[in-house]
Amino acid sequence: MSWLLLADGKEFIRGKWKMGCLFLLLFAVFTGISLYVFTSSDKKNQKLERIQIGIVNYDTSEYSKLLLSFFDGNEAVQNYVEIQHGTKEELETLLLQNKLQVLLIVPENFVQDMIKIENTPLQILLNIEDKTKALLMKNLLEGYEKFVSAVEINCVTLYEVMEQDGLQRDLIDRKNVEISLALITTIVNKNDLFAHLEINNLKRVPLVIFYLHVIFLLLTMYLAAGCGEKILQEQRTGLFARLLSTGIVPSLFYLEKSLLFMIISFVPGFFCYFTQFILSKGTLPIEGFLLWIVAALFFSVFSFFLSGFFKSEQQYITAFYLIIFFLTVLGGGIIPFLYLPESMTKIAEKTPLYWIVKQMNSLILGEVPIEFWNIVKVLLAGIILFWFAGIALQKGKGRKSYEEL
Amino acid sequence: MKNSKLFWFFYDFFLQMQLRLRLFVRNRMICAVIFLAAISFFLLIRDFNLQAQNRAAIPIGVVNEDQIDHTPTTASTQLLHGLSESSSLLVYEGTQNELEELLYDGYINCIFVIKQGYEKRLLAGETKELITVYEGQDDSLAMIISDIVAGEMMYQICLARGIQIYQNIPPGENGKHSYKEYQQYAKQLLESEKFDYSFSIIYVDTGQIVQEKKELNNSLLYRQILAGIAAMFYSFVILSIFYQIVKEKEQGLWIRRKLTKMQEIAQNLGDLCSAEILLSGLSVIFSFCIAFYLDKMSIFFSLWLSSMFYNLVIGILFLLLARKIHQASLYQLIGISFVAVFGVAGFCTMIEGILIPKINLLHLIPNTWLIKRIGEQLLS
Repeated sequence: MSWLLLADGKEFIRGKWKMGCLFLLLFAVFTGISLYVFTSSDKKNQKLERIQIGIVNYDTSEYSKLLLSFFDGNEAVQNYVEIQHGTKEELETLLLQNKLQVLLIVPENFVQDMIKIENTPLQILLNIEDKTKALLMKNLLEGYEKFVSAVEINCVTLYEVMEQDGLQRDLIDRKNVEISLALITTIVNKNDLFAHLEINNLKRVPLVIFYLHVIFLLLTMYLAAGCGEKILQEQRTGLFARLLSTGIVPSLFYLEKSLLFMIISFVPGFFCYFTQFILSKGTLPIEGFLLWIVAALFFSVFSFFLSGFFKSEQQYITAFYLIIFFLTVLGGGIIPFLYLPESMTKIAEKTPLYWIVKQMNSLILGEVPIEFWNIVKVLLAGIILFWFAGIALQKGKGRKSYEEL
Repeated sequence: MKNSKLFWFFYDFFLQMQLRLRLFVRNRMICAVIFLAAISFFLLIRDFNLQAQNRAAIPIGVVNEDQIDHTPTTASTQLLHGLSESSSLLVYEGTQNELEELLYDGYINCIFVIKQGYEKRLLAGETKELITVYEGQDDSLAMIISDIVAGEMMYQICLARGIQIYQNIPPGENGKHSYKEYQQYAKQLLESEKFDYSFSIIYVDTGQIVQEKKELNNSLLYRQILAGIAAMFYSFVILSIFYQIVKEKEQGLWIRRKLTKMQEIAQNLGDLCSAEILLSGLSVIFSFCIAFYLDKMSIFFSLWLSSMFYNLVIGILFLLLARKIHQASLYQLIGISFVAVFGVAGFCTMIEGILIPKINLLHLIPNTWLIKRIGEQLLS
């Protein structure tokens, strides 16, 4: 088998310098992105473009400034939002030039009118050209609207109830101011409503790293497709029949192909984890390499198994591409697991992509998850199952005699 | 009379297109695979569309510990109800242990625990740390979710504060409202159509003021992601269709074809058109699902056209690849790399400027164009 492996390996590499260049390019891109994500650990130093909000405040009262501190003073909002002040004309021009996402115009005496139960709404111009930012702002504004609405309703309630009680005008006005200020202060201090507790062993990888893992796993899967394709090609061209005549056992032939493509499809995974290993200064678990090897072998053997259903390479390739694509979507490789429909989360948990990416995400955080070895065992069991099923499917295929070729 | 060059051009074009389509249709196994793939694609897109409104919301867990004799208090029940009705959140209720399991398994983002004594403290005007939030490390989304939850709490908090102030006021000429009467009055105002405090929002698109966009909700993002998925699906199908061209080169058929003196451009156009015809059915499935579940069949044709245009661009790219590359394995590797990178880059443009920096190069990718275009059509 070793000479067969060597011969196929040499044939694969011969003339594949372009492939080598492509791998180097991928490696360079991955290294660049990893460097950026891992070294920019301080999120405030990351120069993310924040959503630009323009505020024109015609209400000069202290209370209106208090209300607007929802945007200015809110730490969570400031990660995503940058406030710009200026005249209405300047900010409107910026908005129409798509340099502003939102323009908030606070009318004159806004807070005073709210206290006097005269509803003068805030004017908001929302730029919807960038849909994601527009939606983020819409959600933020809806939340803000609820705060202001809660203040308004309760100010009106107190005012009208006191009026119905027949209380004196100056008492009503005094209490109205008292409740308005109290409620505005409550809104501004809304963070005090919550006690935030971080769960120590619940870390999440950045979205970029999650998708990088998915890309490299896709590359692994699709490189492994070459195993089935090679088998079908050699069966079709009669090479398989010739090899059989030398006394080679068919299962050895299939094993050699699976191992060859395991080595080939392991390369992207190796690059991926090796880069992360180096950047982490060797603190990542070695188990990551084992996971990529097992994944490469799993998909190679699966590819061998699938080739048993088809006669031509094109049929096999079409089927393989589409199966892998659907497994990727169903396994949470495109829409993250957190946002999959409920019916699909049950399916996702049973896909190899979900298992492998989940383990990889934990390993990249420096931990070997508890279920790691169980997942490896399941993958190995899958390898054995697909292997024997593949052998059964391939029985009798490609055995044309030399005279029939 | 000698036939003109143009005549032979169209002859070669239709011949090639016919050849490709026949080769495809005769291959029953591939037809079966594509047919099954189309059905799976339909079920996938349908399922995603049905759940778009729900799943676009952020999933959170809520534990209600505020109970009297094992019965949840009114205030905590009202809060839970408000959170469940929120379009931004998808609420899972349960015990702390159950929800921690969901948290570790990635079903929910964080857990909100309504502490014991929530109603009592709220009515007494105490607002400090009424709710505990269990979140992952460096989870900035938890703060934004907290703001949404605070929005639901604010009415009750403000009402309690108002009642506190009112109770300290002496009775007027007409007596005094009771606690329940005061609450009822506030509730009437809340539910009244006449009282509607809202912002005056004006939408601006490409420098022009547009009318209100009811479709501008979280499910829009979800449907745009479906467009990204559809783009990747089309790319894989085109990749496998043109794989045959590379195999023909490997088998030496291409050299023989040159002897026939068929015009190369006509051949290329024939191959491209055959791919477009085969993909038109898949584009119909995608466009129909989106338009039907949005109840906007008027946009079906424009969605279909956008998909077909995307298929044309990707088809040209993969056709060029198939013409230039002589090895099937290299064609596959480069093709898959394009599909994977284009696919992910397309999704990244949806979050650039928010979760990742703006990268102008991403906007040159066809997937980005399709995602943006579908978004515009959904809002039209």
